[in-house]
Amino acid sequence: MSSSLISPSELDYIIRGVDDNLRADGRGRLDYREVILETGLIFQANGSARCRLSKGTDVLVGVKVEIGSIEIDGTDEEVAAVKAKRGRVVCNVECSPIASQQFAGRGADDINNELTQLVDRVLNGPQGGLNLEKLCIIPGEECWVVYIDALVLDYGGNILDLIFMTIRAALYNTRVPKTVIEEDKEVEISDDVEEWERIEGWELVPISITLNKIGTRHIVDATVLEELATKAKLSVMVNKNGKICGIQKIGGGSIEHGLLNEMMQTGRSIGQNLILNLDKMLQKEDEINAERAKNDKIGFFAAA
Amino acid sequence: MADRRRIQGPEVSVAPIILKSPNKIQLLDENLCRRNGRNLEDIRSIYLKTGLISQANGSAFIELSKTKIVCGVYGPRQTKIPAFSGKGNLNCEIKFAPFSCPKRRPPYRDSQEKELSQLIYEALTPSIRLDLLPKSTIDIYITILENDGTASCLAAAITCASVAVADAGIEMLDLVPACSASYINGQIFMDSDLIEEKRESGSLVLSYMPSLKEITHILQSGEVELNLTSQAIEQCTDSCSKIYSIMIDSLLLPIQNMK
Amino acid sequence: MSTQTYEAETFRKLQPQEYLRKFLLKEVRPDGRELKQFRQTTVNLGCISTTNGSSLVRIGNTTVVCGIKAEVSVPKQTSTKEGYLVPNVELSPMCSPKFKPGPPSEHAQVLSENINRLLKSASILDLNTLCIHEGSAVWVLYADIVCVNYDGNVFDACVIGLITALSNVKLPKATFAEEEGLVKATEELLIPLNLSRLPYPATFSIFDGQYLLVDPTEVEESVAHEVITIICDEAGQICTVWKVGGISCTPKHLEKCISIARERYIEIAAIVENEEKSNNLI
Repeated sequence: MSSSLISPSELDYIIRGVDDNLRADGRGRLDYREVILETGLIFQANGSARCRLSKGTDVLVGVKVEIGSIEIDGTDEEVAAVKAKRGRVVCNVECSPIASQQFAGRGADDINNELTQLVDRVLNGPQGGLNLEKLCIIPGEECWVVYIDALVLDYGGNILDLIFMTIRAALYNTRVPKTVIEEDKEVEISDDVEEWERIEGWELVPISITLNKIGTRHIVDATVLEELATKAKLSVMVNKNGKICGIQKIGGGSIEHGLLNEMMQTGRSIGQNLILNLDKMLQKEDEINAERAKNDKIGFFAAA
Repeated sequence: MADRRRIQGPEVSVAPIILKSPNKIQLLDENLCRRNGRNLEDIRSIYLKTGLISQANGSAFIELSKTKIVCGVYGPRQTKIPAFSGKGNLNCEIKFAPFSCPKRRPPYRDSQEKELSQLIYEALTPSIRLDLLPKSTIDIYITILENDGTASCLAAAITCASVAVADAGIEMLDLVPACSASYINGQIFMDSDLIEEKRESGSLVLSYMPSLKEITHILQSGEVELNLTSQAIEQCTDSCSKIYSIMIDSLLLPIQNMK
Repeated sequence: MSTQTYEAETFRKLQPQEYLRKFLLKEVRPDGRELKQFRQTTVNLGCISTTNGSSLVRIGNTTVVCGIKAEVSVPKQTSTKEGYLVPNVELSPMCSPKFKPGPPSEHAQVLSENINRLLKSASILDLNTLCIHEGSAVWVLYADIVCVNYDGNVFDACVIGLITALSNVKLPKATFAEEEGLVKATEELLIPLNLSRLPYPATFSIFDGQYLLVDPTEVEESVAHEVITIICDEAGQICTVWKVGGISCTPKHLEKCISIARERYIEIAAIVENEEKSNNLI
């Protein structure tokens, strides 16, 4: 997917470094870069978050909830009955051309589509965590539609993991307005921001851990150069309970059977730890936001 | 949205809601046998035939009870893009026939088809010696005539495409059989059909090169325990080895008939 | 010019017209057929279970699949009882190297348009029979014809596919629930369509203004630019005469075409009847 090139000596340097458990930036094979997280930066959205990896990828996610109609055509009664009681999640991922030259023009079409479908598949099923039934307003007619838009602002490797982290943080930050159904089936939306609620089940939204096979070993959170040296990529989606919510190989290359099992194990344990850390950061962010609200000053790009 | 290149129907049309007969379909009977007499770990019987499309360089047709997929391979032929590439290009395109699914699919390409094309590309590239084909393109076109379970369709499409590439005489490291599994109530249903797929809580598609013992693609959805996943991967690789021998037979058959 | 000897295959590629002419002088065609011989034709009805009616047609190597799906829509305001029948031909890049991915090629558009015209002019199906509830709901029949292998004479295969698939259509019993505005249908498919006539086609190419080639293959089509298609029905009546390209079609040729088309009709009807019988046995 990348158009940039890597020289044989660089490649050799990376492979040997990975073999010795020491990477160019001083990390070990299974160390993550520092994540910088900020929530609530878009006032027009119902929830938003921005995550950055130090000296690398930058992702902004906005969540908007809107009232939409429930679609139930073309299915048998059984499925229609389930669908009628559910809200929907609509995802979109876009890699901005300012993030990298390879996304210029139509260069991002394929990757946008692949990431969008992947995120959509993970978040729309039962493994997505969100309680879709709570998003239903009038069964069979109206529901909340959660639009999740992720924008990749800067590319420093490992986009997918960061997209999932940011989506999770943005969903934590999202508040859905309270609704009152009047007699003539008109939906009244409450103005009182205090009454707005989080979407139930946000804490079970999975994150992704992408493992890159370099040489005979695998690493997490690869940089751009390391991604170029990668033979095969495996993304493992994990939730807070340590359940696997999706596995997908991305890009070319193949993985030996034994290594695959090992990668899944690693992905799961790293993912669970990472979620714990992220949850702490989210709580802290809440406190900061409360503080900021008092001072009433916010800088969009003043994250770190 | 008026498309003047096609005959126009009404602007909106919907499939009617189907009234189901009240008796519920049981996926398993008391002997743990599935509706069509299979055991949990059995895959459906496969009909695989090469050389159906006389116009293509290589082609294959696969049928797994109701699922029907045709694949045509054109190439290696000259790459149209002027930029030089030292490696060959692989281009995969999968298309659902408009009538292939329970609900009609409009004939233009949708995002699911784009994604499946990408997945098939990723599953096949590790097996094809593209390094031997500079400045060339291989085009793989797949049409799904009938879809009986999307996950199993993807798996069958990979299997079918791999045989078609071999039929075209393109050098490969290995054939790529693929197999799917569904997780239903904590049990693994191998190669599930559409009705079983509706009840699933997750699914796994795995493609595997048996002689190299390498996995070329894996895709799992749904919330699953890690050890169940490992078990499903194990079962899928076993089934892939079975499909592998069917693939070899289908390639050998026309040669044996020539003698 | 020095004399050179070529392999037959090389000769065909370099001089396709001369190659064909050499065969025709001996009253035989490159694939061993006589001039007025059709390729082996098979029809397989109801082969796709996700459809309301389907048919797979093979003429020699040429293969098409036609599937018909029924959906529900609102009728036009001007004709409150009329349903819709929407044909569409897909020539995917899979079936021949001639086609590219993307929107339908000109060739596919011509095929779709001609089939649509045939359906209308021959009034094969009375659209009023597709009414579910006057003014609110009618059936829309989408007839999608997918070409799997393009080896000449695809139009014949498409028409045979469409007509046989239409005769294979079974609709569910549908009721319109006025309060909900929804159409509910039974799971069983029972009701067949009432087709007023079953026309079948025959296609000819004229090569060098004198040779009449019945059921041309892809190779023959590419060198003979004059194509005549005649569609007639069970009474031997002609529904459509369609002639494209060239100038050298004499009335004598046309007469001959018509008489062959009538013979061909009987042949196809027998094939279809056989298939229907064996289908009913299962």
